[in-house]
Amino acid sequence: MQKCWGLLFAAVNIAAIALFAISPAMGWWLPRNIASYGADVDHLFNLILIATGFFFVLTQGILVYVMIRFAARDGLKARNIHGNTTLELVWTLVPASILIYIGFAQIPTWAKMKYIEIDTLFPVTYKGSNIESDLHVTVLGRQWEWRMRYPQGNIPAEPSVWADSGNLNDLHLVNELHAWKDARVKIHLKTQDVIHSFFLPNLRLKQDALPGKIMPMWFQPIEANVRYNPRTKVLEEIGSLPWEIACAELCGGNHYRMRGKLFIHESKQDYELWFADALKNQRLHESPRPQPIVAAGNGGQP
Amino acid sequence: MSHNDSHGTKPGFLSTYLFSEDHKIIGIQFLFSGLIFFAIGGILALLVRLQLAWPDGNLPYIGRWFPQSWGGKMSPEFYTMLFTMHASVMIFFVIIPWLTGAFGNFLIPLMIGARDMAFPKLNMLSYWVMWPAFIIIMSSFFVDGGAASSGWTGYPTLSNVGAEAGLEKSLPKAGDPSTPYSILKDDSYNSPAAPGAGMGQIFWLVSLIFVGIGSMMGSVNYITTILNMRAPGMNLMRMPLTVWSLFITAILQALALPVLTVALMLQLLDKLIATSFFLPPGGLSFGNWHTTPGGGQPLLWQHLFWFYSHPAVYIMILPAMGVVSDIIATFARKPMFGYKPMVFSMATIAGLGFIVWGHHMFQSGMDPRLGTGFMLATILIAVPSAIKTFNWLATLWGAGILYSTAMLNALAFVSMFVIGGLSGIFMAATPVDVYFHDTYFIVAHIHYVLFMSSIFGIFAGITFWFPKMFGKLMNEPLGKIHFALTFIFGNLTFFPMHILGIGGHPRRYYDPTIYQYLENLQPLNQFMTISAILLGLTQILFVINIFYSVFFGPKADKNPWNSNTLEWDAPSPPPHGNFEQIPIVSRGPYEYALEGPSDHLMQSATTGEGEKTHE
Repeated sequence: MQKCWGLLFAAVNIAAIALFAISPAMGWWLPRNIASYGADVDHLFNLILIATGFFFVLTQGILVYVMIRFAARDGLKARNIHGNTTLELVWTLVPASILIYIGFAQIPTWAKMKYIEIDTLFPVTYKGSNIESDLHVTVLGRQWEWRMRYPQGNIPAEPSVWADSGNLNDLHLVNELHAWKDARVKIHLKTQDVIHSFFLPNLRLKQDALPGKIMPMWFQPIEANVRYNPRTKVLEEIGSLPWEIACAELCGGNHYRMRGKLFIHESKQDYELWFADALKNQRLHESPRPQPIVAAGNGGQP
Repeated sequence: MSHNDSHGTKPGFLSTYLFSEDHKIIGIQFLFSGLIFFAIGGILALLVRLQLAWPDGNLPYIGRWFPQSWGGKMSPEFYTMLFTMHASVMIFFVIIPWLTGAFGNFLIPLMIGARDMAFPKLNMLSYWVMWPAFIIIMSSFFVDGGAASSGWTGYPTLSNVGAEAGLEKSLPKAGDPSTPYSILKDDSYNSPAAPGAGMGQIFWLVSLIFVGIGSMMGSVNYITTILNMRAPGMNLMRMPLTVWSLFITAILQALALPVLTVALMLQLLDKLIATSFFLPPGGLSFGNWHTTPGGGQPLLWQHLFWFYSHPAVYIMILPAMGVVSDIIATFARKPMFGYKPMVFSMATIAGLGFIVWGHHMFQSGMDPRLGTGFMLATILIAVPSAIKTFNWLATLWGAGILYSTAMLNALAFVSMFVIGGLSGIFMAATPVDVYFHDTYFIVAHIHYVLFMSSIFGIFAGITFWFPKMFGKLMNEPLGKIHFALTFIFGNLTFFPMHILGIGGHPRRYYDPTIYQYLENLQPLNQFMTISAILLGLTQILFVINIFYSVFFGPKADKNPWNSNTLEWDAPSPPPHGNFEQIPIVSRGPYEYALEGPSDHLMQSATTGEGEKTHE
């Protein structure tokens, strides 16, 4: 009877491992990566999964073993041991070295994602808004939608001024982020009310929009999911699942409805064909805030 | 039961059980009020889970309690109130009061051989300032706009916009149809950001300020008592790990709490008199309403809040670690392996705990270079946590384990703490955290640390010291059934949350099914909800066991578990003043596995023949 408890612990832990094992096959796993640095992020995730998985099996294994092996019974005598310095050193230094390795191994990826330039360890330069990009987009969060603004010619003359004030010839869209494959995209993230968080699961990217600030983000998609047909004026999907945009910071009752779509065009030419038509369409309607071309999951609010 | 006879005159009912200055009664008061709030917090959690599993369906039975305008479903705003209040109640009214209030008060004087706390009146006050907090937080559901809904983190500017003076145009009149049950109406506090960010948020802030004052009084008392009132011979390195953990926790609380209290006050000023500590220059627009330009910074709140709330995470786990250590040594019948490393690792966790708050803010807009420093400090916290885990395992190695209910819960703590600790490493890694931040992976992590670890530690502690508290033994078979079901359903509820997080499921979503990439995760959501309901029902067994045993449990003698620490030298339950004679301590607390007729030696035992003591 005493040994059953060890078996209960074993069963729960095995079930936990089994769930992790079947999840990728069930489609319960990281969504498809389409970012240039996404492979580095996923690699780091796998590295940590292996390291933590090893220590999970090790510690739970020992626990289950001692629970069964050292369950009280006649003839079993507990040993009077108060400690062991060598062992203490081993289980301090081994995890510490693994952790420090994980710590330093991730710095280059973080730098890549966040515009940091590292020459040696120092000096470290944060390039913030002065990164070379092929396309600038301003994203404004509000309760409860994302408003995107695209400049004519893809790169404004003075990006930080443009991000702050805008330009009459900008293209305005709601909940639709367009870019093209291999473009280095610079997002100027803003909010007009509360904190939102611009979450692009497929790009492994997330950034809070902070009231009163313009937050820089960048990514480079390595895959496309749409092609523009200038004849029919329709965006044709070439991927399977749509790539979605979500809000990851609580921003009020309809927080969950800030759903947007990510459109990555096949090429710069394709994007520009679409852009020209979209801008023409906007002028036709003479509305500073036109409707999205493809109906997205806009919260319809307010 | 020699309850009243040690001090001659019998005190009245009110001063014995209600306005008592006796640390034991105060501890038990914290225990029972925690139990009430555990039930409330649990019901809130189940409502959250119901919505997540069946987001578009009308809720059977429960639906008819909602206002008619909601149409049998809960509104998205009500949902945000539910998870905000679930977390606030569980953290500030259950786990912290149970660990520091109940265990701290009951155990510290008994375990160090003192007659009471250093400041008994202050101690009584530390419980009674909780009552305004209890009343305010519960009544906040019924104020205009409903309860606080900005998450337990209360981030501005969602939370702090709202005083009429801060808005150029006044807001719509009170009596919003979404809150027909309002009893307090004052439309000048309505917020354009969210209905719950008006009066509800004010109530939330005031309530937490009271909790903070209570905790502060407790901390001062614990630190003073431990430093000044130890029995002769009880030097610091002979203190049981429970006392060490409560001591370190009290220091953490004393240093971190003022920061939270200040932050809460500043937010309250933002709401009440339209200051702008957390409002940016340039103002904000909500539809047609615009705030006047502020001069503050929303990020400041996050720094202040997490400067408290990260140490608070350790406040919510360290005492459980201490409790579990003592229980494991007792039922392993073996000395604690590496007593000093255990003490130092707790101190290290506490120390590092002060320089890692930024890891909650990797995506907040904080300078990313700062993130790297916070990342390295955070990752290092895994080292003392690993030391503790390996020392527990080494204590069990070569033991003769007795599987009491208390021991099973303590072992579950170790097992579950490993999961909660390891999942933390994913979020500590900044590039991976970009993806996992604010997804269900975090929800999984926090529940493995706070529910699956701290609550198992609390169950272990309550079961272990129940005989000392009430002079009765809890029912072991019922306790074991409760443990096994909690262990199983708890894991079935919380483990799949990791998978949800890996799938990118954001937290605090009223309806995740509108996202195509989350669609196939929905069966997991439903599975978790069913498990959570069963987990909730299982807790009824625990409540039954407590109340049944208080009245009908078999009488416990002084030392039912053959443990070593001083509280087992006092009668069960100890009278006012605890000890007939203040014990004299001549050894550490973990003298088990000894040769001779008895396998253990109490800290206060006087038999000195051939004894080997370890400092």
